[in-house]
Amino acid sequence: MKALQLRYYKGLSLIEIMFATAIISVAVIGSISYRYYTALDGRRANNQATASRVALLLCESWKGTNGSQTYDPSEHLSSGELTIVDSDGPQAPEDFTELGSYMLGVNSITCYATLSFKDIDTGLRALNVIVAWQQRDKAGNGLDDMDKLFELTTYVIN
Amino acid sequence: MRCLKIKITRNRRGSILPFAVVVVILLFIMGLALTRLGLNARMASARTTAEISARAAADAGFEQAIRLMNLRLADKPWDGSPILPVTDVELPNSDASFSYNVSDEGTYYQITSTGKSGTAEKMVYGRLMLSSLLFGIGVKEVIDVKVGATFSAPPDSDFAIRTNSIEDNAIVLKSGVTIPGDVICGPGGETDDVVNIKSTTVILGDSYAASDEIDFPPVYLPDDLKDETLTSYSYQAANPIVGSMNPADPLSIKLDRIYIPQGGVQEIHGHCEVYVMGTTILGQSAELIITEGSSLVLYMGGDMEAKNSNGIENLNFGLPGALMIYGLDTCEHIDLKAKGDVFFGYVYAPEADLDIYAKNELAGAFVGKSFNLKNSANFTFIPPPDSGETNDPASYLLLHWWEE
Repeated sequence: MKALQLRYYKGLSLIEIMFATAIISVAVIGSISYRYYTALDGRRANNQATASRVALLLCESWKGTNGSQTYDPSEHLSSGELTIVDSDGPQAPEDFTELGSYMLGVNSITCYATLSFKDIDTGLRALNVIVAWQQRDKAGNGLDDMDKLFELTTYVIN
Repeated sequence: MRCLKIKITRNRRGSILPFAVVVVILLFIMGLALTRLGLNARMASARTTAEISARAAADAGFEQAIRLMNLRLADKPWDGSPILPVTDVELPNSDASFSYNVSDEGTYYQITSTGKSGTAEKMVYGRLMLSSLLFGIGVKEVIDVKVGATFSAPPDSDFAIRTNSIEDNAIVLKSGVTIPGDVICGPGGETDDVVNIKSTTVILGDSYAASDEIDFPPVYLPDDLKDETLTSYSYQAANPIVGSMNPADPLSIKLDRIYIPQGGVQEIHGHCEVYVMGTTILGQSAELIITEGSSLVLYMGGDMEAKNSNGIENLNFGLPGALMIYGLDTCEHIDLKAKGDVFFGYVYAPEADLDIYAKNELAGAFVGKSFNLKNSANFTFIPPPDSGETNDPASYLLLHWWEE
């Protein structure tokens, strides 16, 4: 009598494999979208941080001239990494006098800024900088495509 | 007969499903980490934005506190107390607010300004010290010093020649002039362009652009002078103006004008403070003499005109306060001529063009809209009386600044 030993592997049916493959596929696709949204969040965060730093840069530079009414940021700040050109910009606050509006390009981000001022008291001037930037991806780069605003106000003795 | 015997020796279960679960869990953890990463980036940028707003608000409070301190200083008589603290002042067109407190620390005042925006909070600190504006020669526009004029100052003094202007040649120091201190132009100025010097001009201190324009506040006219009865000036030979014998309580006189005719001599005896509403005219060879032990504080509402060979003679050389000339906002021009070998006095007239004629010695300090030294005199800087509680023009100097 000849004995034949068979090894029997239980549980590797086609259904099981397909079922596992489906689960892993869904998880992988899900993780890809996680990556996408994380990258998107990072980009939005970068845009916001850049815009707020641009506002700070404009504000500090203008403050350095004691809030001069002839201040021109393109003369003071334009460089290889930062381009500033006259342009339309966000609406200045109603009770402030507009100094100028500019389009700024930095780190491949485009934003629009408006500088305005108001004399609070004799020798004390409020400087206001509003920066608009694009938070959600849109086709255009015009002022109308900007969907976020950051407003910065400070005082300077002049 | 062959008999086939089948024996199942192992019964191993499939492991694909547990493997799939492990993979899903790993992917889930990775997803959570990625989500967290994105969220952190968004939160960091939001925090950065809020901190920038808070910092700008703290700066605003700091600037306002300095401004109010200087306003309080200009509002004489000044008792040395700091301004009152404020809390949660909202900035216009911003979601930020500021609070500040100014404390008197004896030798200096400390400003603590706090800016808030959302949950972000930034603090800015600064130390202010009272500093006289009679630091040498200070103007808003032009300083022109003649060939060969010399300057001297005590070694430990802060003598400086300073303009708020950044125009080319706002300070002209001709050949042979030596400056024993700093030469300072307005913020943003190029000293090489603003300060015009010759090859033989020597500046012993530094030449630089100030970080801020110096604020020359308008002259305060004391209430007792303002309310004094107006007297019409009439020159009478050998008829001195006799003031008080107590320097702490000088005689107050309010005059319509001063006109000393040709060859006339007007002497001041005792201690006087005089408010001249109109013009002060010294005719040819006329003299205004502050006699020994006397003092004159002259508030000028109009200009001072000086004809040939006349002048002011102060016989109290080196005694700060013996001659103080204050030009009100309506005083636009002062001709100052030294009679005798030495002119000693202090002039503070921030809206006036100062034309100084002194052939020999000139001492004291000068502040004007412009300063023009017409002769090659020897200028000696003598530090003014203590600032602050007197009428002396002073402002706060920012000694130290830091943030948290």
